Amino acid sequence: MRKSFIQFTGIGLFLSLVLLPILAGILYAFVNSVGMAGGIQTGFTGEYWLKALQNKELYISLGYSFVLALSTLFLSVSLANLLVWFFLRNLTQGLGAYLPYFPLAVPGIVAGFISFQVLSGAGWLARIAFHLGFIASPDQFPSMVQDQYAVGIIFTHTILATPFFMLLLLNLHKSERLAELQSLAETLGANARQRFWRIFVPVLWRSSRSVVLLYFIFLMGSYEIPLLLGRSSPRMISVLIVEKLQRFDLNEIPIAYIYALIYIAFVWSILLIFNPRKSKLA
Amino acid sequence: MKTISIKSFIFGLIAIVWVFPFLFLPMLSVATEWSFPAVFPVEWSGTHWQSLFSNSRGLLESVSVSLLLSLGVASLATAFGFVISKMIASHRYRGTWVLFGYFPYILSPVIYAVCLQFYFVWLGLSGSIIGILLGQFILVFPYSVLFFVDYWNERMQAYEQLVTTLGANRWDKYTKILLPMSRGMLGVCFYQCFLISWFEFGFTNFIGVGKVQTLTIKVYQFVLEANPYLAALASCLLLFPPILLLWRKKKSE
Repeated sequence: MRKSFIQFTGIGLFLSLVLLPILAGILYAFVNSVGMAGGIQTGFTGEYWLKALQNKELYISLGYSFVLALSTLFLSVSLANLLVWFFLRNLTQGLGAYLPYFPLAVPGIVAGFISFQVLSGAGWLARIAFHLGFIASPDQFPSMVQDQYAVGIIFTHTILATPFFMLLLLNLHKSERLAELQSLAETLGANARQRFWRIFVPVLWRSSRSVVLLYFIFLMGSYEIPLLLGRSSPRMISVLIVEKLQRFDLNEIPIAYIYALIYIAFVWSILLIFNPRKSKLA
Repeated sequence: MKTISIKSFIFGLIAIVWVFPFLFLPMLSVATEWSFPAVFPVEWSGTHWQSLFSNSRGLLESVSVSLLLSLGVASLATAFGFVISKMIASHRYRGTWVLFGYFPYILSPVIYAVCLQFYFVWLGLSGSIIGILLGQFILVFPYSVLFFVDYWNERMQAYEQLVTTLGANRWDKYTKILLPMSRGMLGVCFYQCFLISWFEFGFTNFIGVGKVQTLTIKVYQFVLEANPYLAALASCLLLFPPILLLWRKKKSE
């Protein structure tokens, strides 16, 4: 009886610290978005929702975040697979085993700052290009910071995400006993390509897809790297929402809350469609 | 032979890219003149590092604030996570509670901060260290629970049952068995929670409204001031704890 009371209290505390803030936050965002709270309490109105839903910047920003997250994920997961396949021995022995931890020790804001210093028009790569005779002035270098195709954002996220996926794949490689599986396949006559596409990739994908999905959502909502390396338009969704809230125009605040609610709904839809509970997550 | 050398070359190139920040940032932090087209700094000096110890740019204060916050958040999250995960692990709706634990990470921390901002202002916690401590705790605590929930497996339950059978009360069970047995896991969880708090930017920037100047906020501030040398110095300070962790990991193996 006493044990179940303590357990009940513990789970109650867990829910108050995890679920309650989220529900309270969503509730306030909704109340504010219909003019019932905040700086301009107009009384119940759907005006802000209409305005927000008619605004193209929301869809552009959501689409932009989606595409950037997907591109980064495709690049980093592919690279991680290839690196584990080709450099398994280097990555599991000696100092090489510590290498993937180095990029993971770099916070997002620092990674953004380094990319800014390296990839910009007068950055470190441009200087090397100058000394190699490829360019004569900074404006000739194709700047990858605040650029049209968000190369800087994708590059920085990829550099940070690849070692994360590599460590995940290295662990799965061990736990799924892929070495034995491949050796068996080889004995049965499978060549390297068949082992890669029919054993290595499918086994690792099946075990890692829930983490890949969560990482996709993390990338969609990333803030500090697009804040430093992104253009003023289009912006990733987190940057857009914060910028709207920090403007002096009080009419923009309910719109920002609506964008936040739509982003949350969008993320939830993705999770419901690709339900991680079907795999190993829960 | 040729294949091996190409493989080694590619691996070396990857290694350089990954280690690059740890070479570039210290170099930038001791540069005083490094403009285009110089590949290496033209002038080197320890002036920026001196400003850290004289606290002329508030960096020492930021180190203290960041340390205080991260140590506080990591201690609270590890302690609460350890105890509460045990209750969740043995509950019949364990799967549902674990799923709830992922919710804060599904939202971006900055969007979470946007939704919670009203409550922080209402409680007078916006722009205060206590507010950021609470906010970061809310972010880090579910991680700690998720970290420990699988730790309470059948083996641990068997140990618990054994010591209960031998007459240990709840206090003895924790202080004499569970905590000493879990020292390693508690250490790893503490350090990971410390790092989540140490690296945090979006939530702290939004709820702290620039008043709580952690090291990540300082990096951003120096970038906005177009002062790459001090931004590099603050970045070096941010890299120090994770490197210490790596060094300890290497030493222990």
